[in-house]
Amino acid sequence: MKGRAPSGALVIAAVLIVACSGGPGVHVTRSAALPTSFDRADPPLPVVELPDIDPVDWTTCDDQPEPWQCGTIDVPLDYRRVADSGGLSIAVTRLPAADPSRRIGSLVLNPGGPGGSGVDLAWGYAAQFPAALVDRFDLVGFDPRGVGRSTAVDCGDLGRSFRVVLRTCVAHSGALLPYVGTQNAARDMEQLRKALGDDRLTYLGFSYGTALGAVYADLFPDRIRAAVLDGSVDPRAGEYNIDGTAVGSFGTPFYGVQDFGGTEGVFLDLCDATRSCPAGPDSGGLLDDLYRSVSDASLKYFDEWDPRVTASQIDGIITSAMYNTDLWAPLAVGLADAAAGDASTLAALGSFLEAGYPRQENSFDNLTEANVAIYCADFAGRRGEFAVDGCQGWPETNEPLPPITPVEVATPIVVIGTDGDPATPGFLAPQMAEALGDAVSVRWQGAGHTAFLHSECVDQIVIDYLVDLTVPRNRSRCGFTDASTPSWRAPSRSSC
Amino acid sequence: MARAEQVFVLNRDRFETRLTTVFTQEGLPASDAECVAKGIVDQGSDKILVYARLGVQRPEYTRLRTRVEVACSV
Repeated sequence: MKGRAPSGALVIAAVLIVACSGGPGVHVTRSAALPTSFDRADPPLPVVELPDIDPVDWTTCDDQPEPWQCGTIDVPLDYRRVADSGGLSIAVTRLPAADPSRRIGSLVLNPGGPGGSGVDLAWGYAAQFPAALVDRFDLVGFDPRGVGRSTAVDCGDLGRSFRVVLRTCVAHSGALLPYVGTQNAARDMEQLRKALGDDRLTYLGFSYGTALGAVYADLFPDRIRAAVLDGSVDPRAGEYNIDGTAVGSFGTPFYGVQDFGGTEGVFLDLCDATRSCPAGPDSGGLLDDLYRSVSDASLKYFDEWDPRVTASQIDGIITSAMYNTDLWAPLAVGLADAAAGDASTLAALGSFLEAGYPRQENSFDNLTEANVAIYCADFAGRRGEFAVDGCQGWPETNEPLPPITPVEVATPIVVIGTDGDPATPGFLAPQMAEALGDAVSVRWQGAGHTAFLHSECVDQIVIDYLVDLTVPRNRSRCGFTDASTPSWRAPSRSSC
Repeated sequence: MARAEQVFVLNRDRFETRLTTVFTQEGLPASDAECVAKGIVDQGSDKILVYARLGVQRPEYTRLRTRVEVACSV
């Protein structure tokens, strides 16, 4: 699930990731020696034991100021054939704990996607993290296999036809593609834990990062200190009926159901309920009128887009804006301006969602191709009528996404859901907690994709849990408006 | 109603910080960017703050920005 925060987003609706503000380069030595082709005859050997790994050799980052540190770890392409499958480089960055005398350990982050860069997430969002976490933890971001500064999937020019792009992916990265699935990424995260020198993993994963965290929990339950899964995927995503159809997502192999229409309905209702929304008081009617007339609206005050905005571009902009309520006021301004005949603001918002303002190109960003590659590695490989759309011609996956099964962990895992989340609707959180067994769920009655850093109530629960291992009561709830309530105090464990 | 207002009324403190960053990235020295951001946030409507954040050169924004830049001796 690609999700996005304010600083930049692709205007695409397929999947989503939590915020990645682009940051320039971690130096990565791509020393991995990949085989030239994928041998489909590989036997399904079990992964018996992960190899030893050296500690991360930290250096200063090329383009990120101290105290940020950067490094890499080497992991095997295929954990079933460690000796002869070749290796991959995984890019890592960390911000050392601000209060070293009270340091707890590392807090490993994943932004979701799949395909999102954990390095960019750490760099882009560390400044917004609560001091209680920054003081006590090294913030650690890593680019999963296939992503960004790690050994990355390369599909060439994405402007060509989908068929050509897929063919290029296979030509450039065919050896890597079967191995970029979530199970191998979870094993990489275990290698990272060891390389960081932590006895147990403390983890904060968003969106698809909840799948990574849940699979890690299933593979390495005794290695978890604490894990927060914010914006849960469907725990049954990797489960199939006996006839081969997917159990979750209405039969479609995917990480979970999505509800962009529902969140858009919340946007329109809230807009109409306040005089401060420039697209009200009949925002639905305004939108209908806009769709009929937008190609005639001028862009005279914004020159970075083509001179016309199309209905499908409006769809993409609205969809992307549903991820974050911080974007709803700018969206309302853009819609109102466009309805009045000037689509400049709407086009500028679309441009902003793509690359921020001023535009920031991130040469390491391979979100789109990594997203497809990881999705296909998790779901492709079934034939005939159950073949996955969009993965035709792709190598068969080495290991598909597994269903989530119950675990026993030292401290229950915390799963957070947001009621008006368009990409990972909040009702999936209790389902994930139930699937994991040793877990509790928290629901935020808000909107947008994921809750941490958007709700003080949720933030406090996360802080208490990660720092003190205080587990919230199962099925706790946080109210929509808590974030701006001046008299708000830390919630009790039972409710917010 | 409270939740609707919360969503559609801009947080001006946060916008001042963000606009300072935007104006710095546009090329203004840090102290000038800070002064211009403060002036825009103090005097601009929510719409004008959105134009500034997204780089939309609408006349109501450019007029205010010019006035604020003069006051800030930019």
